[in-house]
Amino acid sequence: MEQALLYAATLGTLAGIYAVLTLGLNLQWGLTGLMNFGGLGFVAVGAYTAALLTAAPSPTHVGGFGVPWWLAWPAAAAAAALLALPIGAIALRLRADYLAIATIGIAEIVRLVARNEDWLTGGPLGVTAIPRPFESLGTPMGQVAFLVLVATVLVLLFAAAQATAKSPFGRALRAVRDDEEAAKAAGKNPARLRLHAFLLGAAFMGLGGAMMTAFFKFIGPDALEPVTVTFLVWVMLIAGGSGNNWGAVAGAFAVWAVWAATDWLAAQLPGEAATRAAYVRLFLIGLALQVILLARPEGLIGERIGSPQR
Amino acid sequence: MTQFALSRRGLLAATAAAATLPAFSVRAQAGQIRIGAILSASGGLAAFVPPIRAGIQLAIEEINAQGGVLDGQRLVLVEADDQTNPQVGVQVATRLVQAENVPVIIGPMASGITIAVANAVTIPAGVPIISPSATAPAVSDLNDNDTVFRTAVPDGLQGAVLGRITKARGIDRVAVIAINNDYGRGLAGAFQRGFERHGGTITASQNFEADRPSYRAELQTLAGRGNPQALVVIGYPGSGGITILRNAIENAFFNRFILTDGMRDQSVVQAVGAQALEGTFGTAPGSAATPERREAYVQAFRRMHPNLDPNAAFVAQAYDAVYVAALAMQKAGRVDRAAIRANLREVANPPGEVVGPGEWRKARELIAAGRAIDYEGASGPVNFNDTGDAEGKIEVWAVREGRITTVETVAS
Repeated sequence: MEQALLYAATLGTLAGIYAVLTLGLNLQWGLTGLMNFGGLGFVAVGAYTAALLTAAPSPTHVGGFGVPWWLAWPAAAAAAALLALPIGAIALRLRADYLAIATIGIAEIVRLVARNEDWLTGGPLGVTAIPRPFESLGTPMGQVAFLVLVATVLVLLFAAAQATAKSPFGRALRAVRDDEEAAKAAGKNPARLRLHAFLLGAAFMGLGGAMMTAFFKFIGPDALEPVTVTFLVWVMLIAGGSGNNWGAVAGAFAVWAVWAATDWLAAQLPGEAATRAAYVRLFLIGLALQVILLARPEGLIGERIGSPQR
Repeated sequence: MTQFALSRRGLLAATAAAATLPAFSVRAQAGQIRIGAILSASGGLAAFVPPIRAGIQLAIEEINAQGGVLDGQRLVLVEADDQTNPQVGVQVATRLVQAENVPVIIGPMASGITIAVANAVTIPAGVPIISPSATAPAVSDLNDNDTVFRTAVPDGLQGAVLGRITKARGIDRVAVIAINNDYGRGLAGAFQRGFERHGGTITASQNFEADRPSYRAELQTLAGRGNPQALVVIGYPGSGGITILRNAIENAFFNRFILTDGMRDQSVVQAVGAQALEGTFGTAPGSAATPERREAYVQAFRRMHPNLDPNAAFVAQAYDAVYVAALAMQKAGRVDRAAIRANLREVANPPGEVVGPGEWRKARELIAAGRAIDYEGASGPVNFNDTGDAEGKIEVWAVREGRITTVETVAS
């Protein structure tokens, strides 16, 4: 029984990390209408920043500074925002679909830099033996403490995202999303508002990346897959309800539950069928998204404008 | 749209149901011992998995048919797919260790995934893992508290042997194209050292990214520099290896190829064409078993899986991994992570009465009589050194009349 609870803690930790990423994307897409298909790039920069700062010194990559996590995680968020700054300054002038293509390109560049700049990132070997906060407490207390830490970060970021959404700044972001000309006429500067939302969302993603490396204790280019980072987060946001922070978190937990449940279901099948099921899983996630888009385009918990948010 | 609309309540209920599904996980039944396996059933290494899984199943069937483990308990396999991705590997390893509570894991297959899984999950939990195919030297350097074992022989040795036999076949200048990961870079480096030590010249070397639609640009560069006589391809069939061979042949950049264990797969010959690859040679770890032990395994494998190749890469290693894990449980007299770790070397290394593939009943009787045993496997002697690596030999293979054939085995 204790083992089952431990596994539940693991799933909860990962769901919490994904919820942070989804909140970040909600700030960009849900609130401001920025189509960022390069989540992977910001997650990767946050992940590598935290990894190189916290890991022990190693000859295979730069650094290993042994910095404590509570310094490294904010640094990771800052690094991701720093990457977003020049990209945003240039690419946010592009119309929505061009921004999407530009961000995909940036994410690929980050991934290829991580793979090829051996001196910096350890190349294909990646960074290993990254410390995880509270692991000295042993099992099961260490895992539970880490879950509590992730949950605390999630609650804080959720509160920040809620405050942003309700603030005049948040209303201005919505105005830019829905009618840029009208927002301009009201004296708002759409370019600056967009950039701020882009930076904020990127910082959330960088922090999510930092927590991810701490959980996996490893980061390498093979771990940076668009499917499991960028697109799964998009599915979570669309399914949950973009524009609503409750929806973003609910979507992250719901899609993660489906993802974990299908992994478990596939494992119950005999050998050959289990192999096929691995591919069916991806198909099922796509199918679920289609059904939600057709039947409930606003998502699990859609955006509510005008009425008080729950 | 209305007739198709979902209520929020209905949608939430459905996802909640999905979330609680894993809670009804099958509990361990009496009379069963569940062992874990992490295989790359999808992703870049997927082509290797069917025969490897068959090898694992064969070992389990033999053990169960010859009396089972301990007092007649049956081994049951719990398999997980890491999608050839380290993060997914960590997730499924967590499930095996925490939810399924397995005492030992066969796998993972790739070196990078093995390192990630070991660091994040199995070293802290004290679960022994036995990889049949992780060959990167870095796996030996893990600070693993003696939990990470492998029945595969590390790449350093393979690269050295490949360098030597390439030169011995009268090839003086080669170009190298290697997949851009720990496996490709590690093996390319070892090959270069071995080849240059014997007087060979690497005319040019490139790392390639997986899954590109074409590698013509890379191949053109390699073919144009220093007049190479052959191309060394270090990669996997499914993630670029076959494309490279096709591009090289179609454009007449190269007509001689030297391959490694990653490309030792009959599917390569089928996809590229037997004629074009006739005379291609390469190396792979393992197959150092005494002929009669190897034969016992090959016969048994063919009976159970007539359509799969018992000599495919890492299949015998996977088979042997199950045997040593089961023997360690039998020797320890209990199913316990620490006890398995402590007994792996006891049953795999000399001294002791030698038992081989398919001889589970004999091993049971010897252990019951209190005698020491030494497992000599289908892939080689399977003796674990201090870092948990199997000491072994390297197989030299070649494509002859369209079939991958073992030519010789070379000692370290």
